[in-house]
Amino acid sequence: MGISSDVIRGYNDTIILCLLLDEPSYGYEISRKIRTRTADAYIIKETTLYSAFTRMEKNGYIESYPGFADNGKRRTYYRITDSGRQYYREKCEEWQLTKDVIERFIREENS
Amino acid sequence: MNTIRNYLESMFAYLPNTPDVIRAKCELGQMMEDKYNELINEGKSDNEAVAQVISEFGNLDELGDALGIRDILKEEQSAASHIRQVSSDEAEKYLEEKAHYSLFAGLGTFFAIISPCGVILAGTSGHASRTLMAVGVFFLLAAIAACITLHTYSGLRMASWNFLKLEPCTVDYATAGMINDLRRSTHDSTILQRTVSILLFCSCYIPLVILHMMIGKSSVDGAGVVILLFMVALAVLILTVSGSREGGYRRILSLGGSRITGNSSGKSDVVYNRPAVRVIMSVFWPTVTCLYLIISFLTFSWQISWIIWPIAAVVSSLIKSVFGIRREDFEK
Repeated sequence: MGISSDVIRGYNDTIILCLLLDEPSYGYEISRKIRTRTADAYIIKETTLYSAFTRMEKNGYIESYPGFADNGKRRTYYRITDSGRQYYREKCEEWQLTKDVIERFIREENS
Repeated sequence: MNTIRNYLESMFAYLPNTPDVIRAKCELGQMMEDKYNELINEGKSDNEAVAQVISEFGNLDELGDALGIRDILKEEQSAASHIRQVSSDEAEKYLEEKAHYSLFAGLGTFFAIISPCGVILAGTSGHASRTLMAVGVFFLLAAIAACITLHTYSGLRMASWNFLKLEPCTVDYATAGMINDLRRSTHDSTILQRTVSILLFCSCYIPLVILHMMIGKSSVDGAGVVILLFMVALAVLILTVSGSREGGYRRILSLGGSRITGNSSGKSDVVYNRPAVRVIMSVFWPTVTCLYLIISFLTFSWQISWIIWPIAAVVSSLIKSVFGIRREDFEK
Protein backbone atom coordinates (compact mmCIF):
# COMPACT_ATOMS: atom_id res chain seq x y z
CA MET A 1 0.00 0.00 0.00
CA GLY A 2 1.36 3.39 -0.97
CA ILE A 3 1.15 6.68 0.83
CA SER A 4 -1.88 8.89 0.36
CA SER A 5 -1.01 11.51 -2.24
CA ASP A 6 -3.94 13.63 -1.06
CA VAL A 7 -2.51 13.98 2.42
CA ILE A 8 1.06 14.43 1.36
CA ARG A 9 0.17 17.12 -1.17
CA GLY A 10 -0.50 19.58 1.62
CA TYR A 11 2.92 18.89 3.10
CA ASN A 12 5.24 18.90 0.10
CA ASP A 13 6.19 22.47 1.00
CA THR A 14 6.95 21.43 4.58
CA ILE A 15 9.13 18.56 3.40
CA ILE A 16 11.10 20.75 1.01
CA LEU A 17 11.51 23.59 3.53
CA CYS A 18 12.72 21.11 6.13
CA LEU A 19 15.47 19.94 3.78
CA LEU A 20 16.46 23.56 3.07
CA LEU A 21 16.66 24.55 6.76
CA ASP A 22 20.35 23.72 7.11
CA GLU A 23 21.77 24.42 3.69
CA PRO A 24 20.72 25.53 0.21
CA SER A 25 20.09 22.77 -2.25
CA TYR A 26 19.01 22.05 -5.81
CA GLY A 27 16.21 20.11 -7.44
CA TYR A 28 17.58 16.64 -7.77
CA GLU A 29 19.37 16.68 -4.41
CA ILE A 30 16.11 17.50 -2.66
CA SER A 31 14.29 14.77 -4.54
CA ARG A 32 17.02 12.28 -3.61
CA LYS A 33 17.02 13.30 0.06
CA ILE A 34 13.25 12.84 0.23
CA ARG A 35 13.61 9.41 -1.25
CA THR A 36 16.42 8.20 1.00
CA ARG A 37 14.99 9.73 4.17
CA THR A 38 11.66 7.96 3.57
CA ALA A 39 13.38 4.72 2.46
CA ASP A 40 11.74 4.89 -0.99
CA ALA A 41 8.26 5.24 0.53
CA TYR A 42 7.79 8.67 -1.02
CA ILE A 43 9.24 9.45 -4.42
CA ILE A 44 8.38 13.00 -5.37
CA LYS A 45 7.63 13.64 -9.04
CA GLU A 46 9.75 16.19 -10.84
CA THR A 47 6.71 18.22 -11.83
CA THR A 48 5.42 18.25 -8.24
CA LEU A 49 8.79 19.41 -7.00
CA TYR A 50 9.10 22.12 -9.59
CA SER A 51 5.61 23.49 -9.05
CA ALA A 52 6.32 23.60 -5.29
CA PHE A 53 9.53 25.56 -5.95
CA THR A 54 7.80 28.17 -8.10
CA ARG A 55 4.85 28.48 -5.76
CA MET A 56 7.04 28.95 -2.68
CA GLU A 57 9.32 31.35 -4.50
CA LYS A 58 6.30 33.44 -5.47
CA ASN A 59 5.17 33.44 -1.83
CA GLY A 60 8.65 34.46 -0.71
CA TYR A 61 9.42 31.30 1.28
CA ILE A 62 12.46 30.40 -0.78
CA GLU A 63 14.85 32.18 -3.11
CA SER A 64 16.58 30.76 -6.13
CA TYR A 65 20.04 31.65 -7.31
CA PRO A 66 22.25 30.30 -10.04
CA GLY A 67 25.09 28.07 -8.93
CA PHE A 68 27.44 25.55 -10.43
CA ALA A 69 27.58 21.82 -10.05
CA ASP A 70 30.84 19.95 -9.40
CA ASN A 71 31.22 19.29 -13.09
CA GLY A 72 30.84 23.00 -13.82
CA LYS A 73 27.28 22.80 -15.11
CA ARG A 74 24.87 25.59 -14.29
CA ARG A 75 22.27 24.67 -11.78
CA THR A 76 19.53 26.51 -9.90
CA TYR A 77 19.93 26.45 -6.13
CA TYR A 78 17.23 27.26 -3.62
CA ARG A 79 17.62 28.70 -0.13
CA ILE A 80 15.04 29.27 2.56
CA THR A 81 14.06 32.83 3.57
CA ASP A 82 13.04 34.11 7.00
CA SER A 83 9.40 34.08 6.05
CA GLY A 84 9.97 30.54 4.80
CA ARG A 85 11.25 29.52 8.25
CA GLN A 86 8.24 31.22 9.81
CA TYR A 87 5.94 29.34 7.41
CA TYR A 88 7.73 26.07 8.18
CA ARG A 89 7.13 26.51 11.90
CA GLU A 90 3.44 27.22 11.28
CA LYS A 91 3.13 24.13 9.11
CA CYS A 92 4.81 22.02 11.79
CA GLU A 93 2.31 23.24 14.36
CA GLU A 94 -0.51 22.63 11.94
CA TRP A 95 0.71 19.08 11.38
CA GLN A 96 0.96 18.36 15.10
CA LEU A 97 -2.61 19.51 15.48
CA THR A 98 -3.79 17.55 12.44
CA LYS A 99 -1.95 14.47 13.57
CA ASP A 100 -3.45 14.70 17.08
CA VAL A 101 -6.92 14.99 15.63
CA ILE A 102 -6.57 12.14 13.20
CA GLU A 103 -4.89 9.86 15.71
CA ARG A 104 -7.91 10.05 17.93
CA PHE A 105 -9.71 8.12 15.22
CA ILE A 106 -7.06 5.54 14.53
CA ARG A 107 -7.59 2.35 16.47
CA GLU A 108 -7.63 -1.38 16.19
CA GLU A 109 -11.03 -2.80 15.50
CA ASN A 110 -12.30 -4.92 18.37
CA SER A 111 -13.05 -8.36 17.14
CA MET B 1 19.83 10.56 -22.30
CA ASN B 2 18.58 11.49 -25.74
CA THR B 3 15.33 9.68 -25.04
CA ILE B 4 14.82 11.80 -21.96
CA ARG B 5 15.60 14.99 -23.83
CA ASN B 6 13.17 14.04 -26.59
CA TYR B 7 10.54 13.18 -24.03
CA LEU B 8 10.91 16.58 -22.42
CA GLU B 9 10.87 18.30 -25.81
CA SER B 10 7.67 16.55 -26.80
CA MET B 11 6.01 17.39 -23.49
CA PHE B 12 6.77 21.06 -23.97
CA ALA B 13 6.34 21.23 -27.73
CA TYR B 14 2.84 22.64 -27.54
CA LEU B 15 3.20 25.10 -24.72
CA PRO B 16 3.55 28.82 -25.32
CA ASN B 17 7.09 30.12 -25.50
CA THR B 18 7.08 32.24 -22.35
CA PRO B 19 10.07 32.77 -20.01
CA ASP B 20 8.24 30.77 -17.33
CA VAL B 21 7.83 27.81 -19.62
CA ILE B 22 11.43 27.93 -20.82
CA ARG B 23 12.67 28.12 -17.23
CA ALA B 24 10.52 25.18 -16.19
CA LYS B 25 11.84 23.15 -19.07
CA CYS B 26 15.47 23.88 -18.13
CA GLU B 27 14.90 23.08 -14.48
CA LEU B 28 13.05 19.86 -15.16
CA GLY B 29 15.72 18.90 -17.69
CA GLN B 30 18.41 19.46 -15.05
CA MET B 31 16.61 17.34 -12.50
CA MET B 32 16.04 14.54 -14.96
CA GLU B 33 19.63 14.63 -16.09
CA ASP B 34 20.92 14.52 -12.51
CA LYS B 35 18.66 11.62 -11.72
CA TYR B 36 19.64 9.78 -14.87
CA ASN B 37 23.36 10.22 -14.17
CA GLU B 38 23.00 8.95 -10.64
CA LEU B 39 21.02 5.92 -11.75
CA ILE B 40 23.71 5.13 -14.31
CA ASN B 41 26.39 5.50 -11.61
CA GLU B 42 24.43 3.10 -9.46
CA GLY B 43 24.92 0.56 -12.22
CA LYS B 44 21.51 0.67 -13.87
CA SER B 45 21.31 0.07 -17.59
CA ASP B 46 20.48 2.93 -19.92
CA ASN B 47 16.99 1.57 -20.55
CA GLU B 48 16.22 1.09 -16.87
CA ALA B 49 17.45 4.57 -16.01
CA VAL B 50 15.42 6.20 -18.80
CA ALA B 51 12.30 4.26 -17.83
CA GLN B 52 12.61 5.24 -14.19
CA VAL B 53 13.27 8.91 -14.90
CA ILE B 54 10.30 9.15 -17.25
CA SER B 55 7.95 7.23 -14.97
CA GLU B 56 8.83 9.52 -12.07
CA PHE B 57 8.55 12.71 -14.08
CA GLY B 58 4.95 13.39 -13.16
CA ASN B 59 2.17 15.20 -14.94
CA LEU B 60 2.43 18.42 -16.89
CA ASP B 61 -0.97 19.49 -15.56
CA GLU B 62 0.66 20.11 -12.22
CA LEU B 63 2.75 22.82 -13.78
CA GLY B 64 -0.26 24.92 -14.74
CA ASP B 65 0.32 27.41 -11.95
CA ALA B 66 4.06 27.33 -12.18
CA LEU B 67 3.99 28.11 -15.88
CA GLY B 68 1.44 30.87 -15.59
CA ILE B 69 -0.77 29.13 -18.11
CA ARG B 70 -3.39 27.93 -15.63
CA ASP B 71 -5.30 31.19 -16.10
CA ILE B 72 -5.38 30.75 -19.83
CA LEU B 73 -6.54 27.18 -19.51
CA LYS B 74 -9.20 28.03 -16.94
CA GLU B 75 -10.52 30.95 -18.94
CA GLU B 76 -10.82 28.78 -21.96
CA GLN B 77 -12.59 26.11 -20.01
CA SER B 78 -15.14 28.38 -18.35
CA ALA B 79 -15.77 30.65 -21.31
CA ALA B 80 -16.11 27.72 -23.61
CA SER B 81 -17.32 24.83 -21.52
CA HIS B 82 -19.46 23.78 -24.48
CA ILE B 83 -16.33 23.12 -26.48
CA ARG B 84 -16.04 19.48 -27.17
CA GLN B 85 -12.80 17.85 -26.10
CA VAL B 86 -11.59 15.37 -28.70
CA SER B 87 -9.73 12.60 -26.95
CA SER B 88 -6.62 11.00 -28.37
CA ASP B 89 -8.57 7.79 -28.97
CA GLU B 90 -11.18 9.70 -30.94
CA ALA B 91 -8.50 11.50 -32.90
CA GLU B 92 -6.82 8.23 -33.77
CA LYS B 93 -10.12 6.64 -34.75
CA TYR B 94 -10.96 9.64 -36.91
CA LEU B 95 -7.63 9.44 -38.72
CA GLU B 96 -7.98 5.70 -39.19
CA GLU B 97 -11.50 5.97 -40.61
CA LYS B 98 -10.58 8.94 -42.74
CA ALA B 99 -7.71 6.97 -44.26
CA HIS B 100 -10.01 4.01 -44.76
CA TYR B 101 -12.91 5.83 -46.38
CA SER B 102 -10.76 8.18 -48.40
CA LEU B 103 -9.52 5.03 -50.11
CA PHE B 104 -13.17 4.25 -50.95
CA ALA B 105 -13.74 7.75 -52.29
CA GLY B 106 -10.45 7.61 -54.16
CA LEU B 107 -11.45 4.33 -55.78
CA GLY B 108 -14.76 5.91 -56.71
CA THR B 109 -12.99 8.70 -58.54
CA PHE B 110 -10.68 6.11 -60.09
CA PHE B 111 -13.68 4.34 -61.60
CA ALA B 112 -15.18 7.62 -62.78
CA ILE B 113 -12.00 8.50 -64.66
CA ILE B 114 -11.61 5.11 -66.32
CA SER B 115 -15.34 4.77 -67.05
CA PRO B 116 -15.09 5.83 -70.74
CA CYS B 117 -12.36 3.25 -71.42
CA GLY B 118 -14.78 0.59 -72.67
CA VAL B 119 -16.51 3.00 -75.03
CA ILE B 120 -13.19 4.32 -76.33
CA LEU B 121 -11.86 0.84 -77.00
CA ALA B 122 -15.09 -0.21 -78.66
CA GLY B 123 -15.25 2.97 -80.72
CA THR B 124 -11.67 2.76 -81.97
CA SER B 125 -11.54 -0.99 -82.49
CA GLY B 126 -12.11 -0.60 -86.23
CA HIS B 127 -14.95 -3.06 -86.74
CA ALA B 128 -18.01 -1.25 -85.45
CA SER B 129 -19.58 -4.01 -83.44
CA ARG B 130 -22.79 -3.32 -81.59
CA THR B 131 -22.01 -5.91 -78.95
CA LEU B 132 -18.62 -4.36 -78.21
CA MET B 133 -20.21 -0.93 -77.96
CA ALA B 134 -22.89 -2.28 -75.65
CA VAL B 135 -20.23 -3.80 -73.42
CA GLY B 136 -18.41 -0.47 -73.43
CA VAL B 137 -21.53 1.46 -72.47
CA PHE B 138 -22.32 -1.12 -69.81
CA PHE B 139 -18.83 -0.67 -68.37
CA LEU B 140 -19.30 3.12 -68.43
CA LEU B 141 -22.56 2.92 -66.52
CA ALA B 142 -21.25 0.31 -64.09
CA ALA B 143 -18.15 2.38 -63.37
CA ILE B 144 -20.22 5.51 -62.75
CA ALA B 145 -22.55 3.55 -60.50
CA ALA B 146 -19.54 2.22 -58.58
CA CYS B 147 -18.20 5.74 -58.29
CA ILE B 148 -21.46 7.11 -56.89
CA THR B 149 -21.87 4.15 -54.52
CA LEU B 150 -18.33 4.41 -53.16
CA HIS B 151 -18.55 8.18 -52.71
CA THR B 152 -21.95 8.01 -51.03
CA TYR B 153 -20.84 5.18 -48.77
CA SER B 154 -17.66 6.89 -47.63
CA GLY B 155 -19.49 10.19 -47.23
CA LEU B 156 -22.15 8.57 -45.06
CA ARG B 157 -19.61 6.75 -42.94
CA MET B 158 -17.59 9.91 -42.42
CA ALA B 159 -20.73 11.93 -41.61
CA SER B 160 -20.43 10.86 -37.98
CA TRP B 161 -17.30 13.02 -37.82
CA ASN B 162 -19.03 16.13 -39.10
CA PHE B 163 -19.03 17.55 -35.61
CA LEU B 164 -15.32 18.23 -36.07
CA LYS B 165 -16.27 20.82 -38.69
CA LEU B 166 -19.54 22.07 -37.27
CA GLU B 167 -19.03 22.18 -33.50
CA PRO B 168 -16.26 23.95 -31.69
CA CYS B 169 -13.81 21.24 -30.68
CA THR B 170 -10.43 21.18 -29.10
CA VAL B 171 -7.63 18.74 -28.44
CA ASP B 172 -5.21 18.67 -25.54
CA TYR B 173 -1.50 19.13 -25.84
CA ALA B 174 -0.68 15.46 -25.57
CA THR B 175 -3.03 14.52 -28.41
CA ALA B 176 -1.77 17.32 -30.60
CA GLY B 177 1.75 16.17 -29.88
CA MET B 178 0.93 12.61 -30.78
CA ILE B 179 -0.77 13.64 -34.03
CA ASN B 180 2.07 15.91 -34.95
CA ASP B 181 4.54 13.06 -34.41
CA LEU B 182 2.38 10.82 -36.61
CA ARG B 183 2.23 13.51 -39.23
CA ARG B 184 5.98 13.93 -39.18
CA SER B 185 6.50 10.19 -39.44
CA THR B 186 4.36 10.03 -42.59
CA HIS B 187 5.91 13.17 -44.06
CA ASP B 188 8.37 11.30 -46.27
CA SER B 189 5.79 8.94 -47.66
CA THR B 190 3.44 11.86 -48.34
CA ILE B 191 6.14 13.56 -50.39
CA LEU B 192 6.93 10.30 -52.18
CA GLN B 193 3.25 9.78 -53.02
CA ARG B 194 2.92 13.31 -54.34
CA THR B 195 6.04 12.89 -56.44
CA VAL B 196 4.80 9.62 -57.88
CA SER B 197 1.42 11.08 -58.75
CA ILE B 198 2.95 14.16 -60.35
CA LEU B 199 5.25 11.90 -62.37
CA LEU B 200 2.21 9.91 -63.46
CA PHE B 201 0.42 13.09 -64.48
CA CYS B 202 3.40 14.37 -66.41
CA SER B 203 4.13 11.12 -68.23
CA CYS B 204 0.57 9.98 -68.87
CA TYR B 205 0.56 11.06 -72.53
CA ILE B 206 3.91 9.38 -73.29
CA PRO B 207 2.51 5.87 -74.02
CA LEU B 208 -0.09 7.46 -76.29
CA VAL B 209 2.53 9.42 -78.23
CA ILE B 210 4.86 6.44 -78.51
CA LEU B 211 2.08 4.10 -79.64
CA HIS B 212 0.87 6.68 -82.13
CA MET B 213 4.31 7.26 -83.59
CA MET B 214 5.26 3.59 -83.76
CA ILE B 215 2.04 2.06 -85.00
CA GLY B 216 -0.27 4.93 -85.81
CA LYS B 217 -3.48 2.95 -86.06
CA SER B 218 -6.62 4.37 -84.53
CA SER B 219 -7.27 1.16 -82.60
CA VAL B 220 -3.87 1.48 -80.97
CA ASP B 221 -4.53 5.17 -80.24
CA GLY B 222 -7.59 4.03 -78.31
CA ALA B 223 -5.39 1.77 -76.21
CA GLY B 224 -3.04 4.73 -75.65
CA VAL B 225 -5.93 6.87 -74.41
CA VAL B 226 -7.01 4.05 -72.10
CA ILE B 227 -3.49 3.83 -70.67
CA LEU B 228 -3.51 7.62 -70.24
CA LEU B 229 -6.79 7.47 -68.35
CA PHE B 230 -5.52 4.68 -66.13
CA MET B 231 -2.40 6.64 -65.27
CA VAL B 232 -4.39 9.78 -64.49
CA ALA B 233 -6.84 7.74 -62.43
CA LEU B 234 -4.00 6.13 -60.47
CA ALA B 235 -2.38 9.51 -59.86
CA VAL B 236 -5.67 10.96 -58.63
CA LEU B 237 -6.18 7.96 -56.35
CA ILE B 238 -2.73 8.36 -54.77
CA LEU B 239 -3.25 12.11 -54.38
CA THR B 240 -6.68 11.63 -52.81
CA VAL B 241 -5.43 9.13 -50.26
CA SER B 242 -2.30 11.03 -49.25
CA GLY B 243 -4.05 14.40 -49.34
CA SER B 244 -6.85 13.13 -47.20
CA ARG B 245 -4.45 11.72 -44.61
CA GLU B 246 -2.62 15.03 -44.45
CA GLY B 247 -5.97 16.82 -44.29
CA GLY B 248 -6.97 14.67 -41.32
CA TYR B 249 -3.81 15.63 -39.43
CA ARG B 250 -4.40 19.27 -40.23
CA ARG B 251 -8.01 19.08 -39.12
CA ILE B 252 -7.08 17.61 -35.73
CA LEU B 253 -4.17 19.99 -35.21
CA SER B 254 -6.27 22.99 -36.18
CA LEU B 255 -8.69 22.09 -33.38
CA GLY B 256 -6.01 23.14 -30.97
CA GLY B 257 -6.33 26.65 -32.32
CA SER B 258 -3.58 29.22 -32.26
CA ARG B 259 -2.29 28.11 -28.88
CA ILE B 260 -0.85 24.99 -30.40
CA THR B 261 2.43 25.66 -32.10
CA GLY B 262 2.12 22.71 -34.45
CA ASN B 263 -0.72 24.58 -36.02
CA SER B 264 1.18 27.74 -36.77
CA SER B 265 3.92 25.80 -38.50
CA GLY B 266 1.80 25.73 -41.62
CA LYS B 267 1.55 28.63 -44.00
CA SER B 268 0.96 31.86 -42.21
CA ASP B 269 -2.53 33.21 -42.55
CA VAL B 270 -3.05 36.68 -43.85
CA VAL B 271 -6.02 38.79 -42.85
CA TYR B 272 -7.21 42.03 -44.37
CA ASN B 273 -8.53 44.88 -42.34
CA ARG B 274 -10.39 46.51 -45.23
CA PRO B 275 -13.66 44.74 -46.01
CA ALA B 276 -13.44 45.55 -49.74
CA VAL B 277 -10.02 43.93 -50.01
CA ARG B 278 -11.25 40.94 -48.04
CA VAL B 279 -14.14 40.43 -50.46
CA ILE B 280 -11.92 40.79 -53.49
CA MET B 281 -9.34 38.35 -52.14
CA SER B 282 -11.92 35.74 -51.23
CA VAL B 283 -13.00 35.48 -54.88
CA PHE B 284 -9.61 36.25 -56.40
CA TRP B 285 -8.44 32.82 -57.53
CA PRO B 286 -11.84 31.51 -58.68
CA THR B 287 -12.23 34.71 -60.75
CA VAL B 288 -8.79 34.30 -62.25
CA THR B 289 -9.59 30.68 -63.14
CA CYS B 290 -12.84 31.73 -64.83
CA LEU B 291 -11.09 34.53 -66.69
CA TYR B 292 -8.39 32.16 -67.88
CA LEU B 293 -10.91 29.61 -69.14
CA ILE B 294 -13.20 32.20 -70.77
CA ILE B 295 -10.39 34.03 -72.52
CA SER B 296 -8.73 30.80 -73.61
CA PHE B 297 -11.89 29.25 -74.99
CA LEU B 298 -13.05 32.42 -76.69
CA THR B 299 -9.75 33.29 -78.36
CA PHE B 300 -8.21 29.78 -78.54
CA SER B 301 -4.86 31.35 -77.83
CA TRP B 302 -3.84 28.80 -75.19
CA GLN B 303 -0.24 29.28 -76.16
CA ILE B 304 -0.28 32.75 -74.57
CA SER B 305 -3.21 32.79 -72.16
CA TRP B 306 -1.17 31.01 -69.44
CA ILE B 307 0.44 34.41 -68.84
CA ILE B 308 -2.66 35.21 -66.75
CA TRP B 309 -1.37 32.92 -63.96
CA PRO B 310 1.99 34.57 -63.23
CA ILE B 311 0.35 38.01 -63.51
CA ALA B 312 -2.38 36.96 -61.08
CA ALA B 313 0.21 35.57 -58.67
CA VAL B 314 2.12 38.85 -58.70
CA VAL B 315 -1.07 40.86 -58.18
CA SER B 316 -2.12 38.60 -55.31
CA SER B 317 1.26 38.92 -53.56
CA LEU B 318 1.14 42.70 -54.04
CA ILE B 319 -2.32 42.93 -52.46
CA LYS B 320 -1.18 40.66 -49.62
CA SER B 321 1.88 42.74 -48.83
CA VAL B 322 0.12 46.11 -49.14
CA PHE B 323 -3.22 45.42 -47.43
CA GLY B 324 -2.61 42.18 -45.57
CA ILE B 325 -1.64 41.71 -41.97
CA ARG B 326 -0.23 38.45 -40.73
CA ARG B 327 -2.66 36.76 -38.40
CA GLU B 328 -0.18 36.70 -35.50
CA ASP B 329 0.41 40.46 -35.67
CA PHE B 330 -3.29 41.02 -36.02
CA GLU B 331 -4.06 39.12 -32.83
CA LYS B 332 -1.52 41.11 -30.90
